[in-house]
Amino acid sequence: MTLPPPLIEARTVPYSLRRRLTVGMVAGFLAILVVLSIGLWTYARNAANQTYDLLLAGSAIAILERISPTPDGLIVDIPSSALEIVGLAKEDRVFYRIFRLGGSTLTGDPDLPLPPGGVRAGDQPRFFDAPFSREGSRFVLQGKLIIEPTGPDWIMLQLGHTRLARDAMQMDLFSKGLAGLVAIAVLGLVFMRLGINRAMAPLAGIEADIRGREPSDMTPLDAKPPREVEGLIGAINDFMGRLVTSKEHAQSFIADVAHQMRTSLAALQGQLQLAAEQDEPERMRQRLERASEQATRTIRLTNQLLSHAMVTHRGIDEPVEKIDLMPLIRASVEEFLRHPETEGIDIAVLHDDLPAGSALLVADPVALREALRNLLDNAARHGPKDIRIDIGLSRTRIDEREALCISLDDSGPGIPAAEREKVLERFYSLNRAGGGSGIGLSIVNAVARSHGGRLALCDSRLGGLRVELDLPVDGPA
Amino acid sequence: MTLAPHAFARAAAATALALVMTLALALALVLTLALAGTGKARAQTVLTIYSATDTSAVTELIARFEANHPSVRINYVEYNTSELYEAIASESHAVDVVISSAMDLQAKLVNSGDAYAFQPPNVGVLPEWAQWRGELYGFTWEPVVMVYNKKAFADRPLPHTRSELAGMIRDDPDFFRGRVGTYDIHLSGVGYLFATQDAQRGYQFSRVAESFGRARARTFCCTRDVLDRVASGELVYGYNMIGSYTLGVARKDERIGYYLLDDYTLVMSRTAFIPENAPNKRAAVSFVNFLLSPQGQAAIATSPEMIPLLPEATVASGHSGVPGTEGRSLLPIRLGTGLLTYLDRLKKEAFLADWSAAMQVDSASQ
Repeated sequence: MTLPPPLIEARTVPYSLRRRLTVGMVAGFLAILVVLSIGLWTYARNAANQTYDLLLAGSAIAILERISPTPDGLIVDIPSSALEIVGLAKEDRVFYRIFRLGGSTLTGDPDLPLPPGGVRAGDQPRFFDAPFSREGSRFVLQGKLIIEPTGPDWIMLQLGHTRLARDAMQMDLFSKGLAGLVAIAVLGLVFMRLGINRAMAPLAGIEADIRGREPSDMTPLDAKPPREVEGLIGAINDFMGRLVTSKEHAQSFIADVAHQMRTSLAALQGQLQLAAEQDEPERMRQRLERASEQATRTIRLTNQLLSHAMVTHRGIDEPVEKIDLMPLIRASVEEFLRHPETEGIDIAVLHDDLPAGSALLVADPVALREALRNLLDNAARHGPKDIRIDIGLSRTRIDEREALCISLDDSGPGIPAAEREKVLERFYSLNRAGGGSGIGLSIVNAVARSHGGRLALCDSRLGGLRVELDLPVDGPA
Repeated sequence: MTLAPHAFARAAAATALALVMTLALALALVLTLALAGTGKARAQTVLTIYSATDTSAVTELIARFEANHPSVRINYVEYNTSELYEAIASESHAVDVVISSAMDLQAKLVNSGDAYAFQPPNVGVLPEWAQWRGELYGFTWEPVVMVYNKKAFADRPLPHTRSELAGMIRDDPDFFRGRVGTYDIHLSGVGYLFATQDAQRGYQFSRVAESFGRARARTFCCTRDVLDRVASGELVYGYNMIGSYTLGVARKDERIGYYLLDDYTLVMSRTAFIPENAPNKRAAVSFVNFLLSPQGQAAIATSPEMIPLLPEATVASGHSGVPGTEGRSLLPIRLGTGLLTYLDRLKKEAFLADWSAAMQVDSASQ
């Protein structure tokens, strides 16, 4: 036996707000660390160079002081302190040479590298790095103008050492600085994580509240949400409110239906019982006819209740298709006229201001057909046998939205203005005796609402009732 | 038929000869193989040491090292300090360890970047002045001493400072004329080192040099030459002699006396380093580690001509070290870049010229 794959979990892997925030913050901290590290590295190098350049500069001064012209020639007497000063960078090797600006090396290592850009005369120290020796080296180059019998001449001193002490100091400064930065970053991330957890805590509380409820518990959440999720909580509470209303509607509907069905069936049973008690065939027949009428009313009531339930249910699925109203109206009228009891009824469909094929709108054809059938049925049931019905189709607007208006005018008795509100409610009928179930107009009203439209009742120019059903062209908002 | 016994005898002889030769060949083959095998196992590595120390001074040391390291055989080549420097600086020799008492020349070789860095296991107990860059290690402790002919100074006071020495020579030129000996700093690296170290201590040295000049002091390449002449009475006083060597000779020779001056006493250390291009670095490291180890220091203590760097080894050896060092101002010569100053070409020329001028040395004085 193989278990079905867990489709739902595979399809909806939820993202974690906490992880997103953490990843974002870590990335941010890393970027900051990298930038600061580069800065720190440069700073450490400069600091190390400045520190040890002082050694070179000091030694250079001491050596240059001891270069002096004499009548017998140039004296270069390197003081022993000079190389010891450079040697304060204990592990570093020392290199030097003293040469004339012209080129000839007087003493020292003639192979030392010259600075980029060559040697220039000048008594200001000039520091430069050179890839001399495997450790890398840094040099100072400084000159001294000597007045010799042959004339003035620049004597240059080049003094340098390997970079071990500098690199060690640079690394020391850098690593200590970096350790501080990393510590701050880690602390920051820890606090941020704590902060996220704290910020998320109300959500967990709300979740626990919802999960822990009885299925019937629809009271609003009593969480005190932060501003950022207040809207969400409000929406949840609104939604639960609507659920409660909807449930209440459904309950009252069921209660109504039960009552109606029970009443109708009880009446039917009463008629049949009366018929059964009659001895005379003629009276029995009359009673049975009454019972048959009651049965017809019950069937009609049942049909309409089912129709109402269907329309209400279909209203949940939003229509997506554009349909043409004209053929739909014609088909409904033709179907209506096919019933034998509609003989003598005069129906006219007027659509002068709408060319054929232009009455298009987004709507549910099944629901619309049901609404039309109920409107025609209503007019026929409550009017005289030769009632006249005019069906009109015209353009209108609902709150700036383009809409189509289906109107039904009849020559029947009409509905007094005071009752027009009430007849839209369920089970409110002006003519129960005439077989009115009180559901027809409420079905139409439900269709109008589910399409984002509206239903209006008014006086007809034919003397009876005018029903106007306005439906927006592009479907419910 | 008459030939038969002859033929038989000849055949038998030929057979016997063939047998003997076969055996001999087999034996020779076995011996050759055996010898080749043992020879290979006994000396896989030949450690070449260039040294400016008498072979006799290190015989015991080398024997003990080879006993500890049977796979290493030491090829000990003796030089004087200047020749040794030239040989190593030319980089044309495959050398594993360089040992010299000329600390300045050793420092210069290391400063040129030719040395290999390593850490002896007991680096923590080695004095800081006797090591540099983890490459150059001093392994002996050798004060610079004065020697004198005991008989000549029997009824005279010894000078106790350099000033007194200069004053004594000035006051009694006849006694000292041609009878004071010291290093020829042109020839001896260690002599030049001592002289330049003296020169950095103050003006007394120039007074001493002047008095040497007036007394027509004689200069020699080596400690031994001075000691021989002091023993024979040809010289009465020897200035700046290596203490350990002097000590070894003076122990055996009653005629030679030695002592430390009161103003200061230089302390020199023989140093060793491993060239970067040494063919057998591992063996070289273990040799230098041995020099610095307690066992190596103990072996140095047995040498008549060296004093170990670590004082424990001196005490353990039962020798008293150099008597009279207590309470003296001992100035160890510090390894480092400071030693490079007097190796500067112009500085050295000037120093030697000043020295020569003071000494008024002529070639006949040898």
